Parts: sequence; structure tokens; C-alpha cells
Amino acid sequence: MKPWLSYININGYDIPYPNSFTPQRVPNIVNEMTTMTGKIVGDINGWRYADTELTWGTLLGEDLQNLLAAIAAPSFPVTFSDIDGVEHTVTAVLKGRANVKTPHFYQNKTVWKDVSVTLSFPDCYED
Amino acid sequence: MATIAEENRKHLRKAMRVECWFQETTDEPTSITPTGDVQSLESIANLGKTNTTSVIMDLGGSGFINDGKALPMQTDTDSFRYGYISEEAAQSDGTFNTPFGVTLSAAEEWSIVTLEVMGQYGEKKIVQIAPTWSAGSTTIHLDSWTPGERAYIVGVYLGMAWVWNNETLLSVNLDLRSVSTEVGGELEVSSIEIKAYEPTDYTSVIGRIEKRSPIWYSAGYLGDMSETRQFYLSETISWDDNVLTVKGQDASMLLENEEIPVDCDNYGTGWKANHVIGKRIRRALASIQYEEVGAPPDIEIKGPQVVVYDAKAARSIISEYTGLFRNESYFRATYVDAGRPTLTFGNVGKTWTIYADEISDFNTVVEIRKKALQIVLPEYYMQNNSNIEQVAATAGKTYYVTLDPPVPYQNVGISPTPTSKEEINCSLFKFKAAASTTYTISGYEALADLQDSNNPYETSVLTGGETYRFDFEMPLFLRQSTGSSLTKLSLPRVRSRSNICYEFTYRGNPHIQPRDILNVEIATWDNGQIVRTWETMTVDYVTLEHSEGGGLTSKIKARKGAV
Repeated sequence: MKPWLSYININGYDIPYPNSFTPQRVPNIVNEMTTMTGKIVGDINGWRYADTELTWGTLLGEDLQNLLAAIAAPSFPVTFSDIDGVEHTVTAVLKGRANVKTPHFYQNKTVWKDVSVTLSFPDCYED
Repeated sequence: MATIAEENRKHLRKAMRVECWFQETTDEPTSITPTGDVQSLESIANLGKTNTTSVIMDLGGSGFINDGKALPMQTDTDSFRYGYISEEAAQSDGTFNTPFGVTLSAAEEWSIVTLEVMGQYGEKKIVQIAPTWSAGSTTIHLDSWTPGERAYIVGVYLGMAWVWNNETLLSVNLDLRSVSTEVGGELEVSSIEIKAYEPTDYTSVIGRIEKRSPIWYSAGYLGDMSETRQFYLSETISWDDNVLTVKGQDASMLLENEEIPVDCDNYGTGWKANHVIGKRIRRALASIQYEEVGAPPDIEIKGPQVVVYDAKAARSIISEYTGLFRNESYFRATYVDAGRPTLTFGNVGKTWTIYADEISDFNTVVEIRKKALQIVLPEYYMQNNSNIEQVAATAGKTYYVTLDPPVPYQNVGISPTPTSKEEINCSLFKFKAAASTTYTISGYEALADLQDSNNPYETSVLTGGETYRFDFEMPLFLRQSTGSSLTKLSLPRVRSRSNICYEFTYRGNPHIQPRDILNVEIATWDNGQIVRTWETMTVDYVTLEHSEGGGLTSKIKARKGAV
């Protein structure tokens, strides 16, 4: 893998690090229910990475091809560095992506703007 | 330290710790022989028993770290501190100078032997070993231990065992049930279903596991774990796609074949009645635990109390008696071993408070009463003043009359009037003849007409000579009071139980068991305002549904009032 923070590895493809991606840990809440008084309660059974949108200001055509190939699987591993400074590989599921991408031509190369994909991380961790 | 009650008051509750464990039961005669230095352990004689937890050795010493510096403990007299760790025993890397050995002998060559280990925080761990057998025996050697770790080896067993916790459990569903609906109802079966991650394929072994093998469950937070509930394997364990499914039921399935004969007892009055009833239950149902918490108080009861019951399986009688038990001062069943009640006297059921913020889907269910009492009094109850026996007596002599079927003494009449009469027990009657004539021992006076008592509180009076037949399906507490000329029957208090039940979803508390009392806060909405009321109820059913990671929801059905 190429040096972290310059690339993110999605399903084996090294892709330039997204502009927006900050891995965020959120509690995993199960057994939610609305009580008689209207309050919503639930159990925290661990944490997971929050659903996140990866956006790229510009992405070369080659990188876009890699990205589209990487997210074609039903679920795929994503490797990135978290706040703890450790490289994490977690399973991700594609939740959505931008259908309109804007091509630009720069020095005979195709550069794509407005690229974004939304990933969901279903795995839950206890600590 | 978190408690279940505290966590339940939070919007977001920490998931509970769920622990389940299983141990294969076998009648296989086994002998265990220690080798190496373990031979000095005094408790080694107990190790061959299954379902016991005998400490073999403390691999860390009592508070010492197994780093090769601890002193020998072989001379310690504390049975829980049996030797072992010393410079001689283990080197600093944990290697034992003299390997421990435990030799098992068994008629059959078992493919799995289990070591049960307790960690330094009391957590259970299981080590499964595929032993090599030779001429009916195999030896397990322990060559080293992890330095710094402390562990007891608490048992060595033939066969499989598992310990599951949040890391391996995918789901645990419990269904804890009791009977308070109607006296004489079928004994409800409590059950458990465990789904756990198990990457190893044990399909060749698990098909052989006996169905009575025990399963244990406990949940809560460290420092506030529920009582351990015991179940017994009821279906063959299945393994599919790395998931084990283990299903168990309560102990009632072990009582199916126990038959209790027909009997009848007259318990006298007052506190003695309770005392004797307790003895009767204890004797008749020797297979259930009995615990007398305190002496029965002097309860003022007008007239005698009588218990009559028919021949039937112990399981049915448990059902009937647990139906009769109630909170307050009478005998009460508790369900720590689900479905196998422990009888206590004077031990009021635990009361739990549940707030409206912890429940949803609250529904009120009104049960329809079954017709009448569904009881049968034995035939001798059915006849008005019918003759049971005739005795040709000589004046001044004493006669013993066997009453068949047995009857409560208070309802036996004798004519003409003898010099004296005495009840020996409910099937033997004694009298001293006053004159040389034929004495007639008569059956019962009229009891209440229960045949068409749609209203369970209604009693009516028989007219002379009529015969009634009832379906006798339950033991009956009769409380009699003598009317002007006829004997009336007031129905047992159990009939005064409410037929209003509540069903609701609750965040869950593994402490709660059937027949516990709940104080539930009920919230209703009135013009946008919450109106809070409190209701006391008694738990009939509890289900506990643990999801992966220890999440919990619970469904409760409870009866209005403290029954």
C-alpha cells in the first residue's frame, strides 16, 4: 500500500485520499424502542464506524476506474488510518454514489470532479 | 459498578454481559489418577464426579504471580490453595519442571476431554482436548503455563463442554413460565435457545450428547449478575455454517415418569395445617427442593383444611401446587432452576419496580374464566349420608373401620351414637360401641354444588340424596364452615385471582422470574399530558431475548395483583 493519508485502499485498489473522509466512531445501538412516555431507548453493544461520504475534488480517470471496480462487490475491505494512528481494515458496504460526475480535460488527461461514494461499515466492535 | 436497575433508567443502556455454559453429562464410569506432583493434592478423590467443580490446582497460587518466584504451597492446608506454584514447579517462562498429569480411565474411548478453567477474575474457560487413548486410559499433560496468568483448573470431564459469552453468542432466547392462570393448568415449560459461533465442526461428537446434559445461563453486569438458571438439553445440538444451536428445557421434563399415588389428608386447623401441608409436599415431591425459611405463623382458619389429590405425575402436582401458592405467608415457589421450583415458606416474592420509560406496547388482556372449578370430588363426596360401612358391634368393644376411599374425618357420621369416636387418619376410623347393635358409619354431608357454578364465587346447597359428579383434575383446598344445618363450601382463595392480565415489552431484567411481584408505572396520555398510575402485578411469563453483543429485550405477561 502507498503511504497513508495520501491514499486509501478500497478492495485492493489504492485511490487518492478523499477530501472529506474522517473516520468517526459512533455507538452501535440495538433494541431501540419507544416507551410509553414517548422516549426512545436502546442498548449500546459496542461501536462502529459511522456511515461516511467519500468525496474527491478531482480524480484522474484511471483512479475513477479503480474506484468503480473496487466498489462493485457487495461488500469490500477498506484500509485507512484511524485517529489512533493504526491502520485499520474494515468491511464496507456501498450505500450510495453520485450519479453525475463532471469530466474536465487538463493537459490531455481526463479529470473527474464531483465524485462521491457513501459507505456504510456494518461491523461492530466491543472496545 | 453498574446495576441492571440503574442501566435500565438510562436512555442508552450498556449492553449486558451474557454467559452461558454447557457440559455433557455421562454415566460413563470414570476414574482419574493424578501423576507428577499433583498426587499430593487432597481433593483429587472428587475429580471423577461429573457436575462438580473440584479445584485441581491453582496455577498462579493464591495471589502469587507465576513468574518462578512464588513459594511452594504444597504444605498449605487450605483446600483451595493446593500447591502448586513454585520455583521448582515453573520456570520464569512458565515451563513446569515436572509436567502435571491427569490420567483418565473410561470404558469407552471418548474423542473429546474437557478441561474447565477459572481465570483470575472468576471467568470460566474451556479447553477441549482430543486425547489419545491406550487400553482404556489417557493422560493429559500440562507442560507449561502463561507466566503472570492465574488460573484454577476446576474440573476434567469426559465429553464436550462450552462456555459462551458476548464474544461468541449470536443470540440467547429464554422463555420462563409459570402457572397462575387456573388451578390445575398444565405445567408450562421454560426453555432456552442458544446460538453461538463455533468454527470447529463437532458434528461427529454432538449427536451423541445426552439430552439431559445441563445448560446454564446468567446475565447482567459485573457485580450484578442474575441468578444462574439451569436448563437441560432437550434437542440434539446442531451445527451449521459455524453456528451452534443449543436448545434446553427446564427440569420438569425429568419429572414425567414420577407417579404420586392417590391420597387424602386432613390437616387439622391453624398453623399445623400449613406445617403438615408443607411436609406433605416435601414428601410427595421429593424430587423438588424444599426450603423452610421460617416457622409457619399461626393463621386463624375457621374450620379444617383438606387437601385431596388424585394419582398423577409429579409434574402435574407441581403445576397444581405452584398454582395454589401465593405471595404473603403461604408456601411459595421460586424458579431459580426454571420449572423446578424451590418451595419456601414465609418468603415473599421479590418485588421489582418498572417505570413507564422502560416499557412499551402495554396491553391489558382479560382472560375468560374456565367454567366452574373443573374439579371432581371423589365419589364419596357425591353422596349424601350414604353408608360406607356397617359394623355389628358388641357393647363396650372398640372397633376400627377402614374408610375406603379415605375421607376427611369431619364428614364422617356414626349412628347410633357410640361411647367415643376417634379419627386415626383419613382412612381409619375408631369407635367404642355403646350398645350391642349394628353401627352405621356414614359418608359425607352435603357439600356445595360446584357443578354449574359459572360464577366461581357462588355456592349453593345440596338437597338430600342427590348425587353429583365432578371432573377431578386438581387438588382442592376446602375451607368449611358449618352452617345452620348444612355444610357449605367456600371456594379457595385462589379463585379470587384476577382474570385481568397485562402484556408488555420491557427493556429486560434477568433477575425477574415467574411469580415475582412487579410495581409497574403505567403512562397514559390525556390531552397531551402524561398521566402516571401504578399497578401491582404478578409475573406469569417472562421472555428474554438477547441479541448479539448482549442487547436485551423482554416480554412479560403478568396478572393483576399479588397472587
